[in-house]
Amino acid sequence: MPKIKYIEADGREYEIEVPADKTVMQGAVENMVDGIVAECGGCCSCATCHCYVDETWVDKVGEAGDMEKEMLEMVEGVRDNSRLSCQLNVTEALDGLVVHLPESQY
Amino acid sequence: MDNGIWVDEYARTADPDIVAAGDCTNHPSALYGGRLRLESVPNAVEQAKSAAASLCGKQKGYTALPWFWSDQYDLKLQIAGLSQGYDQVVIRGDRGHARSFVAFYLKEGRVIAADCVNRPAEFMISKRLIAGETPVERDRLADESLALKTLLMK
Repeated sequence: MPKIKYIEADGREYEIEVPADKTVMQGAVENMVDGIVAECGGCCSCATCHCYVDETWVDKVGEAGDMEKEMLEMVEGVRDNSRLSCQLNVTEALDGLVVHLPESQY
Repeated sequence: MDNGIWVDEYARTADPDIVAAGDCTNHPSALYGGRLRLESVPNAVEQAKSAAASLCGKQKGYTALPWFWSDQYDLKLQIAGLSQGYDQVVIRGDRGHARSFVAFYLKEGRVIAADCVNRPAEFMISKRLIAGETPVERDRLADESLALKTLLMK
């Protein structure tokens, strides 16, 4: 099963097995990772599942879709490697993916 | 009680050992004044955090801005705030011909709510405008040539 590493802003790290039919957001929320809130449950409607994809993985996760891009534009602390984790589908190819979480989702 | 179970901003009922959260609660709103009862997912989820904190002997005030969303086929609806009591509506975008526009509801020169149809960026900005009670000029809200973030500047 693919393993995703979540690194909180305060340095805490979680390596979590997330099945390939779930999103990076679900992996966090279903395993008590505080740094992802996901108010809208994964509909790309709230931007509270914001994460920074590790530089080594940016090319492999692909680009954000149009709606996601518009949401991200307005997020505090947005960077080039920002993504909404509810739009990152876990696949075997993303085994070992590392994402960094912001200090706050608000 | 009248219109729901009355709770304070920490989701506590008149009995401090009993909390309530979600659709059933009548709770205070600092932003809108008075009290509200909201039937929405974000209300239930966020207020539950305050209720849980109270049960653990901590205090986490419930102050989140009301908001709603729905995906209807190709239309992403996102609503920020509550429009009750508005005195002006400003439309951004072509409501008649495009499947993408915003209706801003203003009261005394400040945005109190926004109905956004396929406008996620405007929705995000609206949340900040409403929560920040930022005075706005109606022409700037409607002017699509202006970058959205300039709306946050006073």
